[in-house]
Amino acid sequence: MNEELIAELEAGQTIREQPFRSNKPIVGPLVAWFRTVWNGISTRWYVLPLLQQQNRFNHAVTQATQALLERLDELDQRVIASDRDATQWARTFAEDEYRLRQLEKQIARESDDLAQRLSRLEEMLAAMGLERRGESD
Amino acid sequence: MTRGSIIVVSWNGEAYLGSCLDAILTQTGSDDEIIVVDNGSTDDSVTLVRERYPRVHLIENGRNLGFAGGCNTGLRVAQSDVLFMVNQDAALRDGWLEVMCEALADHTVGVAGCKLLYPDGWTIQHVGGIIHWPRAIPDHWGYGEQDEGLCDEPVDVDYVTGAAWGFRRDIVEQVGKLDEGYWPGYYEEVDYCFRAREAGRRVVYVPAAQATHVESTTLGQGSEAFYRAFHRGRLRFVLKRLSPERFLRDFVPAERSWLKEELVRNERLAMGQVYLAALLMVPAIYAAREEAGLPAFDVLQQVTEALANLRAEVWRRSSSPQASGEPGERSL
Repeated sequence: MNEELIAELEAGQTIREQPFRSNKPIVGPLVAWFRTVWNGISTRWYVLPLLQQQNRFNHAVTQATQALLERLDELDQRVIASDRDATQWARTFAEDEYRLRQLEKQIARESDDLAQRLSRLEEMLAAMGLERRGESD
Repeated sequence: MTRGSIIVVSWNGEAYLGSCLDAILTQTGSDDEIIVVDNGSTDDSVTLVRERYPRVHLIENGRNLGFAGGCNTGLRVAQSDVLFMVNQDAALRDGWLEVMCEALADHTVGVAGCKLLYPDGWTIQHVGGIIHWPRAIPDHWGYGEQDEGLCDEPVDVDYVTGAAWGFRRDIVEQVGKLDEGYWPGYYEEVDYCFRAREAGRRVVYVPAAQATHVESTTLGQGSEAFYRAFHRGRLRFVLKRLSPERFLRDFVPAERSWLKEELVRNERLAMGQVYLAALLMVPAIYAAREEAGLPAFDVLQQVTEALANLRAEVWRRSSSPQASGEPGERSL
């Protein structure tokens, strides 16, 4: 797309003087020559400098547009690269969070298991204590 | 004991709120409760309610908790056994409350929805809905058709829209409140209806209860914010409902095919952010799968990779000129 735009700008950036022609038989070349000479004299000091100024401006616009489009492409690439990094960070973050949540659940399960074993142990100790007391009685 | 509690969540809805509350007040008595939960409006919604509707119980959240957050605030204070939620841009037609209360008197029913018409009062917006899998695309029955009596039979549906709906308190006790993860809105009611059905309760469409609804006034239909909220909700719903295996096998290829289509510029811009948000949602959603069992870590990695690839696909499409809404327009 950018290449097409630049090609179009380059194709139309230079304004060229058009050669005079005449279709009249015999006198045609003379008419065309006269118009060319007259035009050369009448436009040399006023229209021609304007034409040259316009051409310089057109060339500058084409170059500036080209530079801007290149810069835009470069920025696009940088944004895409940054976005890829951001996605990667998000993935890492999500995966770490999941590991953490898995660990939390595992710890909670083991903690419950430990609490149950402790409770059973306490019950056994209590029972043994009662038995001892019973024996000593 | 009150007959019904009607909760209206408001957010910068001054232009519609008056009509909404007027319609509610014409059909409620002293045994009904009306609650407006304001989600931090910056317009004059709060002043309007305070000055013109002294009967209304106004709760100011002070910030935008989203539609689900606003509803849950209302549910926490509501006294009735029958609970209704009405959008600020909806206007109930006469008899709505009575018919809905009758429908919810049936204990097999968990959630009830009504016939929603566009403000012209003639064009159908919603008469119950269906979800198309695997992409979880919602479809409103009768959408855009003229209301000529074709949708006047009560019927069980996949879901009813949250614009004007109701449920029994016992369903809240059974499945809990709305999921506030659907912030700022969209799909929370779909999620709720699926949870209710999973719990063995019916979700019914009640045609005799009717209301008009402007639709998408909060985020603006077609805006980037609208697409972001809509698809964010859709991805959350998909991640919650589909097993990781089905997500990878069915959802991802279908989603990739859809991304290859010509999306409007705002939708494509939104999708990049949506996949990133979805990626960050995955750990909490999968960790909450107690009954189904926690997915293995490598399965989670495959899911995050798939979401990252979908995001890359958005970028890839965005960089090509034909991806934009206008010919030759740069889409990003």
